[in-house]
Amino acid sequence: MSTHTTQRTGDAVIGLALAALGVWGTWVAKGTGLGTAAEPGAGMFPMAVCVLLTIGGLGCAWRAWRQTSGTEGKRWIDGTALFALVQIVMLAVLFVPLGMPLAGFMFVCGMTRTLGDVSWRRAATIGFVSVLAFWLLFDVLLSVQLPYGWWVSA
Amino acid sequence: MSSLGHLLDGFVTALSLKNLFLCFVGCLWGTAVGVLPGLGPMAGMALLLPLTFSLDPTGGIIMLAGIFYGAMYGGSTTSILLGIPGEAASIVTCIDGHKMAKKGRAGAALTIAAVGSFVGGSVSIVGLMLFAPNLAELMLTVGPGAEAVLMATALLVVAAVSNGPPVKTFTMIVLGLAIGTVGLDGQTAAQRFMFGHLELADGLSFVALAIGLFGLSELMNSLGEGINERPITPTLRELVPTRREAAEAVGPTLRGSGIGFVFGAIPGVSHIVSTFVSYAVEKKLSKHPEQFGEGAVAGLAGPETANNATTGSSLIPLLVLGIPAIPSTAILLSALQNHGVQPGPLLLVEHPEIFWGLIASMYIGNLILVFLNLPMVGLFVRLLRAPMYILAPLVVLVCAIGVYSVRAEPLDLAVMVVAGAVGYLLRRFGYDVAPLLLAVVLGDRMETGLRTALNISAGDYMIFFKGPASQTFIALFVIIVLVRIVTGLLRIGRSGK
Repeated sequence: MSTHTTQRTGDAVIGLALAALGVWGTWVAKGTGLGTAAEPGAGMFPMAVCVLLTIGGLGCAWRAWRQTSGTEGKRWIDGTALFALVQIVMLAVLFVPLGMPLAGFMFVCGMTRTLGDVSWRRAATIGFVSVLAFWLLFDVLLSVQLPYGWWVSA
Repeated sequence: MSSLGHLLDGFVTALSLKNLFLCFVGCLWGTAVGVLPGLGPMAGMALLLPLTFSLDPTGGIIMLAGIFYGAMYGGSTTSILLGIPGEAASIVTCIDGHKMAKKGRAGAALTIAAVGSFVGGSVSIVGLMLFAPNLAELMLTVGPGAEAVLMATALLVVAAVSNGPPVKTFTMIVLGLAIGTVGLDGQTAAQRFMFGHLELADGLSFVALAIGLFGLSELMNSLGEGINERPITPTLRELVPTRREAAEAVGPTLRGSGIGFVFGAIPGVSHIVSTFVSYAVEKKLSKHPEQFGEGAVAGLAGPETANNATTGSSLIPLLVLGIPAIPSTAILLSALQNHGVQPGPLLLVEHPEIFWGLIASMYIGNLILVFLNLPMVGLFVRLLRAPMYILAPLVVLVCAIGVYSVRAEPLDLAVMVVAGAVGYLLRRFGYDVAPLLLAVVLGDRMETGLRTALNISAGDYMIFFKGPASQTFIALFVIIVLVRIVTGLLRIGRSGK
């Protein structure tokens, strides 16, 4: 998919995606059991909202289709935000297996280095100091449970 | 016991060393997130929400409320010194506040904003104290049918005042309701949208959703925009306004208190609405409307007061009806629910220490904030100078720690990231994600009320129309729909000419 779009196309794509989600949700909720009016089943409410989601999504797409403005170029995601998202995904994936200290250090170090264009040495110092501060604050002071990774457990 | 007696008890609770400390931490953190552009009260509260789970409910709510109103104070600092709203409600403060700063009156502008915030905040706390107990008594008569109608009406009000096209807001609300159904069904224990993942039995983590939708997506947005301006730094001596400036601020401050309180008590009305209304009123009443936009004292004092008066009264729908009328109060609701406390009319009967402790702490918090925002303003100016490349990764790491610490569930981290990415995309294309989060919170009560009412009436839908409470809510529902239709038609008519 191209990284560029327009407000109109973006609206239409998001609307259709939400409508598709609604159709899928309706189908899944139906299988949970609808019950009767006197004894509504577990699927009744989810199915009703998913039907409404389908209608809402189609409404958004229809609105975009009729729109005459919003044809100027627009990015799905800004370059810096995309870059940050990739690193956040990596942090989320590595947070438990590697543990907060190591995953956190790698994340802060990597993001500081690339966002701020600072030297690796400075980035590593910022990463080390911040992880140490967080460990002291959350683990030692507030007794918050943090993951320490398989390598510490082993 | 009289309200005064309860309030004194509240002060005993709020003045305990631990609660005083939590109030201070909340105010400090709130001011910091308010000062930092891109992080608002919602993100600030979501970040510290997991920490409240290890506290008692009163301490937790005192800290979160401190963040909520602290962010409102902090937002004005950035608006005045940098010309960028620290949080959305400070947009109006930028107009005249920053102009005053550019004219060398930054210190005076900060003092007028802080005093106005203090007055507005104090008036709204008094109002909350006077109105909430009476309203709560009235709400005790509401049955399950009326409760379902009330939830639907609350969502409709949120939709009516939300930013963006109605069809997008409607879609966000139903998406939120759908997300809220994930997990085990409360009545039949049937699995809904779980696909065998038992870690989803309690539903998607609200903390992960809130942090993702507000914290991460706001941060990604800020990274894209960037901030290059340098803040104006006032000296301590410059903090004192001239006699003329002080006199000009009195009237707008008093009017702003009233406007903010009334608008805050209406479910769904955000701070932004009250600040714009206050600005419009002051401009209309001014003998020199041409000065608005050029550094008018009234244009700063009125909206800034209204902003903080809204904060106190916006707690009324939450504490009395159990409805989080704005996203920030949804976080307060979540914190209380995690402690097994359900806000609503019974809160004053079952947990008076929470209600009155919160009110007393708000009096104290307002005083702390005046201290934090005037003599210590230099500290926050320094925070504004901290580069984004250092702040951003630290905020994300706090988000991850916060989400994980709730129940040590790796899946919640995935929920946070997905919610952040989806929230970013939705905001980018003009969807307001606040109604989505409110619907996640309200959906469960709406469904429970709906199903219980249908069980009681053996499937007779007329139960939703019976009783004065239901009829009042339905009348309100119909009025809102009609107002939306009429204003929509008028707009089409005007654009057609």
